[in-house]
Amino acid sequence: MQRATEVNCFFACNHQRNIIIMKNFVEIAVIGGGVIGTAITYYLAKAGFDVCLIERNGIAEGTSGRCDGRVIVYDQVPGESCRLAKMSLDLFPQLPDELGFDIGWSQEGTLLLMESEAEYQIAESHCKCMAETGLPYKMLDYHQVHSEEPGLAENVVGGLSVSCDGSVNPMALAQGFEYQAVKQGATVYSNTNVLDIKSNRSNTVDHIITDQGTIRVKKIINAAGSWAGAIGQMVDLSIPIKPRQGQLIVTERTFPVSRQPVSEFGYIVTRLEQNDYQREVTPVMEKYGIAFALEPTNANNFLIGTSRCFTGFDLTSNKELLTAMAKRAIRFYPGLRDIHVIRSYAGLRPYAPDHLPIISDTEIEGFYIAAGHEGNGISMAPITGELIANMIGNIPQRIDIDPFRWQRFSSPKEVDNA
Amino acid sequence: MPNNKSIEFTLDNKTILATEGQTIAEAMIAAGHKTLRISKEGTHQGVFCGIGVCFGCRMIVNGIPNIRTCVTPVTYGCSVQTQNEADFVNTKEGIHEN
Amino acid sequence: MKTELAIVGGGPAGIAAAVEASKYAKKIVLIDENSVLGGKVLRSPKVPLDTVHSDPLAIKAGHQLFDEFETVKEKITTLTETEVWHISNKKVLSLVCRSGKYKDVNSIQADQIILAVGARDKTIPFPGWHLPGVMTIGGLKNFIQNGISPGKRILITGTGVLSMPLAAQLIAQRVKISAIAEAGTFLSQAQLGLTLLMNGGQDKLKYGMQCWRSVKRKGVPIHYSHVINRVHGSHQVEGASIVQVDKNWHPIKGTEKKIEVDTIATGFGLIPQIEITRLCGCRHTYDRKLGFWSVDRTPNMETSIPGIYVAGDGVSIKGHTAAIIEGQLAAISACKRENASSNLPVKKMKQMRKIGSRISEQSAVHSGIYDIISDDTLICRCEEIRYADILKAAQSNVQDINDLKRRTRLGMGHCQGRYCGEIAHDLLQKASGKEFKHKSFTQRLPLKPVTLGAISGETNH
Repeated sequence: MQRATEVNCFFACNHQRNIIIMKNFVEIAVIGGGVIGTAITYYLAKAGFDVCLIERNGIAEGTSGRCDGRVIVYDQVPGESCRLAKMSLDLFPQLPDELGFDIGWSQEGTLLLMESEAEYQIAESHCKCMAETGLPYKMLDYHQVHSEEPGLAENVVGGLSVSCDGSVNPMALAQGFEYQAVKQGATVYSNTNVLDIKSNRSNTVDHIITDQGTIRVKKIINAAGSWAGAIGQMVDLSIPIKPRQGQLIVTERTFPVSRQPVSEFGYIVTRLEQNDYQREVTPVMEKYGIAFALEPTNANNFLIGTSRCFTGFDLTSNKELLTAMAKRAIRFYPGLRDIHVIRSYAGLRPYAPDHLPIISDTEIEGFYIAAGHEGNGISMAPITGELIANMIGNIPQRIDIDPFRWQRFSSPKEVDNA
Repeated sequence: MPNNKSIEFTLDNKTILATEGQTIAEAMIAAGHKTLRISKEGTHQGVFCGIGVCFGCRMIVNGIPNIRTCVTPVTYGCSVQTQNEADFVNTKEGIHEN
Repeated sequence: MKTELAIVGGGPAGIAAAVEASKYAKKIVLIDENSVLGGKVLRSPKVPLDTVHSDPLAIKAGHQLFDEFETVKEKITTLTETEVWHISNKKVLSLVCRSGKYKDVNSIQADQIILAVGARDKTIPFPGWHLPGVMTIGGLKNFIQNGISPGKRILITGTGVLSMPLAAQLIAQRVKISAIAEAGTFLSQAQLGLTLLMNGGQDKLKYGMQCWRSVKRKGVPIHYSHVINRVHGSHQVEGASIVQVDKNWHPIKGTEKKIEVDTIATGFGLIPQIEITRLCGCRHTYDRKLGFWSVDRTPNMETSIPGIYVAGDGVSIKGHTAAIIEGQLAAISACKRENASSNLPVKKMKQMRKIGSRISEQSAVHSGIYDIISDDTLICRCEEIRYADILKAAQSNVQDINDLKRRTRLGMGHCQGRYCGEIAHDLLQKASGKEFKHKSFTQRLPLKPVTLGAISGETNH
């Protein structure tokens, strides 16, 4: 990253011949134009703040343009993250009207699939646990699950329905937040790279240097997702977020395959710390963290996933991985073998070592972080926006945000390299 | 095409004839059947590129949808159907409507 | 399966490469999507063709090449009806073989690869172009060559050197041509003729004149400086209108004429199919004069990726004569026998390349033609995205065509952006009134839509 001069100056945009002219000053600058950054910009603008969004490429060109669209609690266990997820989910139904934008929202629930008796039993106790927190979890036995889903492989033994889950078009969500944020008075600078951030002598943020100009700020929200660490470095802040790659397959439109979004329960089991349980998967599937999920989209085609592995910032489609993913999918829905795959892509989940996002202030006055949502960024975008807007406006939060503080990392602890 | 026998197959459940070696698209055109599929918006579409790239000519062949007919040969007894993509819904309500 | 050399594409360039490589390499694989080799132009002597009205040069070249191929056939493993959907950076080709004795082969490890995948028609949308009855010039040619006419009254519209040969073939098959609407001027066509004459293309010119005379004799109206501006009909082509255009292809008000047609063949020349070279990570350059992206290559036909070579119309449009020579050159390079290249008719190849470039320049689209496009016109045929959707996106903060894709779904369908990607850039500029740097859609696997079963490694389904 090159250092630009610390003088207000204008540079011709290197992508377009249209010159971006930045303002001299803004109260709050949000860095990162994915779902998190655009959501924050919207909620801040709605609350009356003077806010701008700075995005180095186009809106949703990062992880938010390379993910699935699930808005879920199904991958949660009871606790603070689950509460956060549910609060966020509950904000979605009003969003299309609120944003005046079609975000492709639907609420079809999730059906989790169990492939063994052992899984079924674990699912039963997990179902009870989650139902006790007030979430709509319900078990389906063999006959029920096959009647719900006639396309299922015969040896799927049961299901767990989570009926509150939904789906959205993640790019449209970001575009919708952007749209309404601008209507509420926010400014969006796309194709604008943050080169450096300068603080003043009292360790308060002072100005941001970009390749389109320099802008003085009172507050900065670092919503740069998998790249939040690089932004943090500009203010000498250590942010332990690293990219956890996931790949997805996009199929054509065809006859109904599943009637609703489905996922294999086996993946959740690994998060429930049932260490003696092993899924029946190949070594390649383990290597890439493959766990079957099928999402019927708003466009009537399907997204097939999922995978998780640490490969730095690599975004290339990996054929070995996709082969294993395809096999896993066909295992659950044999009819999928005839469906055509139109494309595949990879995205980088911003992973924090304890699987909880960072939504907080920091030791740098005026510098906030809203990043590290791992695979729940889409789901948690609205609540993150609300939390940051309340934080900035000193409004009491609806949830205890202590678990999400950046300061939880600043004490010398071993970083979990799961 | 010289010296090629006729092959019987069905189009939308009606028996028609093709010449051996023809692609399904050729047989469709020879039979004057221009609309090969109807999109979910109700738009009629047929052969466009003729070289297997645009997928515009896709039909349901032997029960399997989205088969490019311009690169698929007719086989004896195969069943070919005009693809109605309004049937390609995948929400619970959508499915129950159909 | 392992091989020293894998050749993707069994047209003139690919077959010539295989024949040449058989002199040097022991293990060669030749892959083609179709059931017969020859690509768009050449035919084996065994495959019947209307010999009176096809290009005699192509016929002769085809017979000669196939004769040579026959003599070395045993040395080459030929996979037909086979589609390549991925090439890894270790040169493993993933493929789907639809039938024949290699049905179980789903991957090939190659040491060197030659990509000779050819070109396809460039198309420009017009109102109603999505209706059954509208085809590309190349597509219609395929049907006519097999004796099938898609209709009874044809309109040929666009530009390029493929219109007249198609017309001649239609006439030979006694299919009525209602009109030919050529976007270029008569003068520009005549200039092409001169280019052919001055660059060793006399035989091509002779054939071109033959076609033109056949068209004139039949009394088919040729409207120069005209383009189609609308299709009539709700569920199929029932008629069309053509309109006169100025030198920038802007339609001239009040010149619309109705034509009685039931079939329309459209095309604005050919463009190289660069998806496979993009997938391999090769470097490409956008040539403004020629109007297409082209893969960068050394004089020895190697791309920016070592061990990946290219030849033929898949690089730039040049016709079968040059394609054959390039195929030979690529094979010589891939087999590291540079000395052998001194025997090649390099001068002829360069002449034909030059002619090809002139033809491409001539066919390059003048942006005035986009005035034909109405808000309602489908731009992305696969996802039914209309120009109105692009206009709407352009009012937002759209940054480039990938951003446009995220906002509208344009390019997300089966053709993977092949038919809308080319003009998405121009239309974005028109819709937004801004200039954008020329980009193309990000290329990912699969190269062509294949089944999930194929991706999972299953064969024989």
